Amino acid sequence: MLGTTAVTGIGESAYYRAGRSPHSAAAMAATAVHAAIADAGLSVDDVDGIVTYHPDQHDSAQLWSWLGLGELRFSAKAWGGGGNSGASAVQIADAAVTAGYARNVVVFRSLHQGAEGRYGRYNQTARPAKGDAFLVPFGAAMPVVKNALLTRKFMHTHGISQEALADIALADYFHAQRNPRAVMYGKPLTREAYHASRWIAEPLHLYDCCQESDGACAVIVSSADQARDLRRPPAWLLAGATGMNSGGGLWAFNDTDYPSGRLAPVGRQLWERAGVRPADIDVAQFYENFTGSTLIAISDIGFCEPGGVEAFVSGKNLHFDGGVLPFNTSGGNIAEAYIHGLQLVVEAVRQVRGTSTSQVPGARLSLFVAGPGTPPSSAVLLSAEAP
Amino acid sequence: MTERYLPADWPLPQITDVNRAFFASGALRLQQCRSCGQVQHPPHEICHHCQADTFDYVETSGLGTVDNVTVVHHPGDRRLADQVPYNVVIVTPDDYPDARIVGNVINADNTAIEIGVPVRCVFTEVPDPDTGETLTLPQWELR
Repeated sequence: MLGTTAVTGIGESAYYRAGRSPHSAAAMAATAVHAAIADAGLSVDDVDGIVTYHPDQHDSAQLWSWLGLGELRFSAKAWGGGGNSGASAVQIADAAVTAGYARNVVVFRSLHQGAEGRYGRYNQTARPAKGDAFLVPFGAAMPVVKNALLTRKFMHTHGISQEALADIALADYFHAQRNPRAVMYGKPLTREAYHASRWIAEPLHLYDCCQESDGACAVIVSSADQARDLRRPPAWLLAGATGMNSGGGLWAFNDTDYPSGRLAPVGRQLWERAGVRPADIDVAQFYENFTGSTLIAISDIGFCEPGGVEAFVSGKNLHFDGGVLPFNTSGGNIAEAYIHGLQLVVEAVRQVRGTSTSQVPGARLSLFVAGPGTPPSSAVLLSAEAP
Repeated sequence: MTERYLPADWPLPQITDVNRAFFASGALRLQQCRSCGQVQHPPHEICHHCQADTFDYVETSGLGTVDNVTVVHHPGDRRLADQVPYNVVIVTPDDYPDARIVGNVINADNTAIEIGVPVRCVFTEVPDPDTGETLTLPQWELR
């Protein structure tokens, strides 16, 4: 936070459509983690902490030993939130390094949805309990159904049209055409093709939904004293935030922030800690599990009022070359790959380094926002300059 | 009483002491805290307002309004393959408008289900596959 830590290394496996990776999740994690360590110019013995999120397939102790890392000093997992925890995981690593519990913490996610089961499907046989008992028996089981409901109500309440959803998907595909790593590289999307695509759950078309992918990525969060001397320009960590309002954790659409507002506390915390405003941000990566939730996130975090989000995202406003808010410049979950959103942190770092395939000229402040699906949500802000 | 809207092999809720009144009483009942009077949905082991843990389950009029609707076209689960397109709604009871209840509108064309339309609660009787107890799943019809 504010000069105590920086992201010093990034690493990725190749990204695949779900079920297409010839490598296991463990093998892809090894590729990504070792690539991040090498990118930073560190050795395996320099890395002394590990953080992930979601019920990862691997136990952290097992993975640590399989990867041949040194003495472990810090291990944690973000609590709840699913893909909303991507920035939380970075924030936890930042907190651990800032507190002195570790010097170089690796944050990773590895998914093999072919082996693990595709995230977009339900396929569970156990009788649902707790909050799910009030959703699943009525068919609100798959993530897309819950997000379709949130989106429908948000659009209805704030007068948002289908074109705003299209603008998110089109910006993702536009940037993916410039990124050879993207699964949708070479597959441009037109507005006509967007509207012609099939419904998944109204108002979400096929192109409103993130991909299901296999792949892994990792970043290294290091102390400031090391960051200055490592191989790459540091991506200074200005602030992280994880949060929600008091009633944000209630079940089955009875949370107090329905259908929007789940990210508002995260925005308030982030801007206050970093000492900057939304208008200062040069480039942003948003966890778009679905386009509609991304519209909610853009307004919640503070870029515009909910009713103004359609104008905010329209035209080329999200494009890297002159847009008001260059957005998901590697193609995002929708058109690059869905590595549970952590690949968006990797892209946020590339923007700070000046190495994105859709580089925003002179990018200094680079934002990653994860949410607003399952609370709590999170965000992290990186800077090219030491604060 | 009506047939189940979703297929017979689609999961039914686990019945517990706090959700039995909602799923098996044959009426649309909401959980009310005996200590502070707060009504909350879904029901839970503790009151989210005062953290007490004894409740009554008040019967509502069964009349409500569609607060939200989606029509699902992609099944996402093989058991739903023959069911799509199906609707999922959120209904607010007219006498407890702060509660949001997820369900389905039955016996209606999906295009007729819009935010703001009035509905009434109806019940689908289905035997609990583990205990044989009769469940009464709250569903909705246009009115």
